[in-house]
Amino acid sequence: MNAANPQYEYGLLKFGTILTVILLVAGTAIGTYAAAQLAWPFLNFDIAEITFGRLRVVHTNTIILGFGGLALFVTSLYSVQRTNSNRLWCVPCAWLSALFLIVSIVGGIIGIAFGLTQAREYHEMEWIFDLGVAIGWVLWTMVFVMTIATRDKEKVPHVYVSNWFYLALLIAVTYLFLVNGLSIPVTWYKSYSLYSGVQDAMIQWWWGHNAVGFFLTAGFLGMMYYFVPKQARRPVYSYRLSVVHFWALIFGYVWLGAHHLQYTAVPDWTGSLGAVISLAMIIPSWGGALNGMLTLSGAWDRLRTDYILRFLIMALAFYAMSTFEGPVMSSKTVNALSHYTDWTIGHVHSGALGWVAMVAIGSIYHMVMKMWNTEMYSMKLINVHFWLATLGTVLYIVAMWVSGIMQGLMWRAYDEYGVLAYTFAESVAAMHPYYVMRFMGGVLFVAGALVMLYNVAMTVATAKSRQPAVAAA
Amino acid sequence: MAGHNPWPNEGNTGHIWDEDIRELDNPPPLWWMLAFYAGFIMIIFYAIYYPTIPLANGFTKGIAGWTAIKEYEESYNELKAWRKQKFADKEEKLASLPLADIMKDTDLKLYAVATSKMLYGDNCAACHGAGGMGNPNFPVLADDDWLWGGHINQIHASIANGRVGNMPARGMMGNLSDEEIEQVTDYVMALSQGKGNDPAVAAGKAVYAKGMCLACHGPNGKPLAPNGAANLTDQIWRFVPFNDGTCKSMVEKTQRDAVLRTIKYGVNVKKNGDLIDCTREGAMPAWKGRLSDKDIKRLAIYVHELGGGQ
Repeated sequence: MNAANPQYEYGLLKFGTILTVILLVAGTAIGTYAAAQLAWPFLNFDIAEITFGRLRVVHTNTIILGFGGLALFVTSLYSVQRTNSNRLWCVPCAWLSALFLIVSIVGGIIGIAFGLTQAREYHEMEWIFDLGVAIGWVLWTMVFVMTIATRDKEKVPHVYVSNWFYLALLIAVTYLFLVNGLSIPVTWYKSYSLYSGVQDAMIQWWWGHNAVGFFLTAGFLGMMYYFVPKQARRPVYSYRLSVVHFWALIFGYVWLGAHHLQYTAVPDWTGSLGAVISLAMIIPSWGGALNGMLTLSGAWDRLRTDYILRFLIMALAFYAMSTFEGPVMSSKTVNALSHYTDWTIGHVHSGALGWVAMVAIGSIYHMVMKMWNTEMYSMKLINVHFWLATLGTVLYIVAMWVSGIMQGLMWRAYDEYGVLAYTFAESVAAMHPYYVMRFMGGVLFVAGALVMLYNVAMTVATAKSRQPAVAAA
Repeated sequence: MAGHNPWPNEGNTGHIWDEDIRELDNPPPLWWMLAFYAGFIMIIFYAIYYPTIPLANGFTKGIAGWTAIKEYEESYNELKAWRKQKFADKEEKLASLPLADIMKDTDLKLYAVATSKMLYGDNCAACHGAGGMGNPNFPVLADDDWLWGGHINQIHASIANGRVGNMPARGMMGNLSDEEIEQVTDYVMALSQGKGNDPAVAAGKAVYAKGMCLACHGPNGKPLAPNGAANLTDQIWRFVPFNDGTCKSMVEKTQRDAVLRTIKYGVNVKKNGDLIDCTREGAMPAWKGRLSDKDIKRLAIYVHELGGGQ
């Protein structure tokens, strides 16, 4: 078999892959512009649709649901075919699923810019778009499950670990999304949530944290488990490790939500439970990072020459770091300082830029070469992209660490009269240099994404005219 | 592919996917397994220490006796006790003495200023700017130009009870024509440069009298006593060009436009309960009830000492 084998369905995935790269550029560019607005507020030009309050939400939705969702969609449907040696079950269903997802997400995002929102973090789009996402999601789940179910069980008796993680993502997000989205529509574009008060907060963060746990972690671990051994051409370090850390994560993640609500009106036990399970999740999370990294044992020299592998391994390093940082931030003592500060934003981005984006970028480069059956237009540009992305991410998170901790310390500082030492406005003014630094980090990351878009576009455009990378074998 | 293992000696599980994906049969690293168990054991100790486990009726309280509100109250009470021990006499005097007496006690006055920075920053600075430097259409507090008076008691009254500006549109009787408004605008501009008696603005001066502007702004453009009306003989403008999109009838480009708008549409002019288009909004909220009496006194002293108190 080779990549050009007609056994596999690539048409939809090729389309989806290119759109994913476009969404990466769009989402990070919007985010960078929003970051610029924090440093130089005049940049909103008093236009309601692009003020920070809306643009930030457009950014998070474009990145999480748009870029992240589509990256998961294409990589899951790519790897599920290959790890089950089975053609996609019901290709039209998969197209229909993509159509529902893309139209609803794009519609929802445009709606947000025009002020249509449920005001639930990471679940802002209004009910009508929600419904479209849900239909697309269930169709995707169905295609994925059936592709596994209809495999030749003689030839492929076992289901590979990447598929477990994708399945966890698909199943968990289905119920998380639906339960959190329960609402009563009053017009086509307006609904009211079924929940209120403390219940509302609990349900919202039960979803909110699992947008991180299942969407941005479990799904992307699935991606890691396929593309790391594939790109490294090395066996996964430990089967048993993958079993243990998989079930530990699946057990743990659903409990964490309340750590977003420390020191609020929710009962004290919920925060404690969220915090302690978070702390217990450090080691299971590191299980994934270890398994990925140790896959390289004996082949570390590959990192010198294989730029795609660099993305995947750097992603695992950021994953290990942010899965340590997150639980530490959820503990009461640290949370009392870090909550509501930029540290949270920095943490999210070390996960989103360092882990999610980098592992997806590496996987996309790998897929582009396989699906178009060619080398990349320029391998050097992948390296350029790698350094732009890495430096951009580091600049971003360092800026937010410093500004976040400074913010937290300024808010709680007392002077010699026992009066708070700084006004809120003074803490905002003190953030300015770090907001500029964060913006520059964003610029580097977007520049990298543009390099990728160019490289992918040129690869696709010239694929036919160049020699195939691998002879059919 | 099952049964055929091209990598028989690397210790894989024998499962092979997509031509070359396989997994080794390594156990997880020992340190990892130990840490893994330790993590779950920690949950038990944590749950004994903190309120953690929900029960049918309530939840376990934990042996530490910790609650979030208790943690907050304890640290706040500690601070309060420290403050009381150090500054109780000063706080007592601030609360009981009249402002005039506090102003004579330099030590106490400086204490009031030093403890007002946050109060000012969080409640006043949004409009009046850091250090009282003002903002477009929000008065500067650091100079000696006062609309409602710069004496400590007047400043205190402004903060405690708030102030609502009011100026009728088109003169006191509301009957100035567009042409008369142009003329009186020229006169006001001339006044600000000390040229009120220039024959070129004689017509405007007549309108100033006809419109009874002098009732509040004084016969020569300077109010006889603080009443909220601006002093027109200096170049400190209460209202500057401020195109925030809420005024639909005109666009202000120059300071003359801004003066003309104020004369034509007045300040806080209402019709049927709603502000009319382009009228100026000038209102300071009352802080009595929102801040303690002691804090309002403190702020009055702070504002007085910004530089312009009389």
